[in-house]
Amino acid sequence: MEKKDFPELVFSIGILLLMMCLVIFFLLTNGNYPSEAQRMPRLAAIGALVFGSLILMHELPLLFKSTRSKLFFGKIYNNKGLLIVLLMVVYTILLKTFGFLLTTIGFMAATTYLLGMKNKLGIVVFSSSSTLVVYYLFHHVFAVHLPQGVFF
Amino acid sequence: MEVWLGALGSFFSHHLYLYAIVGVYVGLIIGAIPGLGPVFALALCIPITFGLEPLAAMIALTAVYCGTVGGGSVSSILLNIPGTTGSISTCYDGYPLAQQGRAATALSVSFTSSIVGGLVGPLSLAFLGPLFGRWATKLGPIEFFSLVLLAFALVAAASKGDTLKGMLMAALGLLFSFVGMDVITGTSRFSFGNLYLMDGIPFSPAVIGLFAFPELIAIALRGKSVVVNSDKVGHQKGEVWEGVKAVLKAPFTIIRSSILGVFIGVMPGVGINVSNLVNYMVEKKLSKEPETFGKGNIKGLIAPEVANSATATGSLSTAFALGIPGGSSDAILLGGLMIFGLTPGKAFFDTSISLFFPTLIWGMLFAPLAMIGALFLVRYIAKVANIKHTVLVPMIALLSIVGAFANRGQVFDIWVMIFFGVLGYFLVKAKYPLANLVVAMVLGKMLEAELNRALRISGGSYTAFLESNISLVALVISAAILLSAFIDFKKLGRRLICSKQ
Repeated sequence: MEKKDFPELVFSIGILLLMMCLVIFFLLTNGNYPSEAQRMPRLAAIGALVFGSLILMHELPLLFKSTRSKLFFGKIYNNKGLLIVLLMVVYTILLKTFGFLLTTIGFMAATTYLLGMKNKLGIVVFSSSSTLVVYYLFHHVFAVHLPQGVFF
Repeated sequence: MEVWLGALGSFFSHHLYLYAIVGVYVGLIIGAIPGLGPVFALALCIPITFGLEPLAAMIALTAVYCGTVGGGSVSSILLNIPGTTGSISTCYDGYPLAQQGRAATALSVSFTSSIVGGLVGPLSLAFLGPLFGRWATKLGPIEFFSLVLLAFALVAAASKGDTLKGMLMAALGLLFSFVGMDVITGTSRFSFGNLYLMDGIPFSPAVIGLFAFPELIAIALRGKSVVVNSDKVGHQKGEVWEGVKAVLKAPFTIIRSSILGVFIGVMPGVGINVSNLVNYMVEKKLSKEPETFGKGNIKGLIAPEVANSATATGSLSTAFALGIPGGSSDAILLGGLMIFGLTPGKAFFDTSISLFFPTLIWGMLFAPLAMIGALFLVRYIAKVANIKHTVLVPMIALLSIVGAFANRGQVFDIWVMIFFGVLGYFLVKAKYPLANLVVAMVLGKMLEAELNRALRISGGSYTAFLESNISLVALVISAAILLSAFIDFKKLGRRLICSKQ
């Protein structure tokens, strides 16, 4: 058995508990469907619960035995990667209002700045050029209709 | 024989080879962009081919198909984002190679494998097309269910490390695949009245999220480029040739993957998405050093790429022989065929009626060969792995967002991508294997639909699965594979033998 460290166990058990809730929710909504539509979802849900419980039984004792690391919780707040994901969420919310061009330029500028590029001119050039290239490629060449906002 | 030589002559004299070359490179570029796959490329190119004569149009379209499937490996290797659903398992060994600074080798291995696989497909279509077509009709829902279960068992059991975690991922993937409208009863399940979920969870955005986000976050945190150890970057030119040689040194892998690839392609409903994953898992199981898979084993890169190229053209057997498309890409090609006034069926293969079929085959053989030109560009493409994270991460983020959006043109798909991205990040952190999740999501709906169909035909009796020969064999092998995941047969055998002594 490989050694499991604290973060891995925390995530693992956290995921398991979330999953079990999800699966139980699945089982409850299942009751409304005709029997044929219920068959495999029920099977898969039961399988998920069985395997989930087995893993939980195995890992919970390991969690209590392992040493907690104080650095762990600090890492979550300083995580640049998760911050970028948050920016993506903001991007998707603003996409319908401001349209592809404006939102994307803003997004690219924000992410590049966050990741450490200090040269202000460089940020502006990079974000506008990359947005325009992608816009041209997808809108004119591939004929993919990118969202148009309120402005243009 | 003279017919084939005559067709070859007309292929070159009518400048049809130009269409093959252009088609392949268009396909390569489109396939390299994550989220855009063969269906997108073919749908885009069909209107462009309206002005051409039927033969030129069909050669161009099949070349685009071949190129897209081959190009999918580019972003898989360089960015860990599958370029097409046929290159998902290319990420597993391709990306670690790029991280080691061997992106050029990985790319040349994958292009060479795509060339080899792309040659096998048309050959099988030419010689075995009608035969495969007839064989495919023998598969009913019962056989289909057992064969899909076999593929499922193979992948579910071959997890990296924890078998229990792999099984849980498979079960979760199944549950995700049941979202949407059930094929048999028409009930809308788990969609909570959301219009965009009625057709199920959109697969492409989910896969982009699952694969792109963990790496995106990792690169952002690490603060460098894809290449982890920049002092290890070697002489790029030598690496390309090294990659080509590595492919030629693995004949058994090539033969095995081609045969399995064509076999999977012939089955209607399963395509490049299944064949690349199944072939990767088979290769891993049969290898003498399975622990090296996922860390940059070249054979783990050869198998899926040969397979997906072989499946792409090999799957056209059922389409051309029976007029039954195996998947969306086949449907578009079949549609193209009919637009130009040709009918699929036995007459299609008959060389005495027209030279269409032989010339098309020469076109389909020429397209992969045209990809040899791409090998000269590998040096430059591989440099992407050295781009600094400040620029790379925003580009990956942008491409993922647009790639997720491009499929259906719905902002909802971007949310799906973000959801699966965050899920994927935590799953990778907790060391749950993502491969099982992806395969279960691909196969789940088919598994269930065939089960329900089979049970309706047999009147609710489960013994029908044991009565059909093909089904029985497939079920026995599945059971053996699943058991072998939990019980180590070698140890058991040794213990039994020792205790008997």
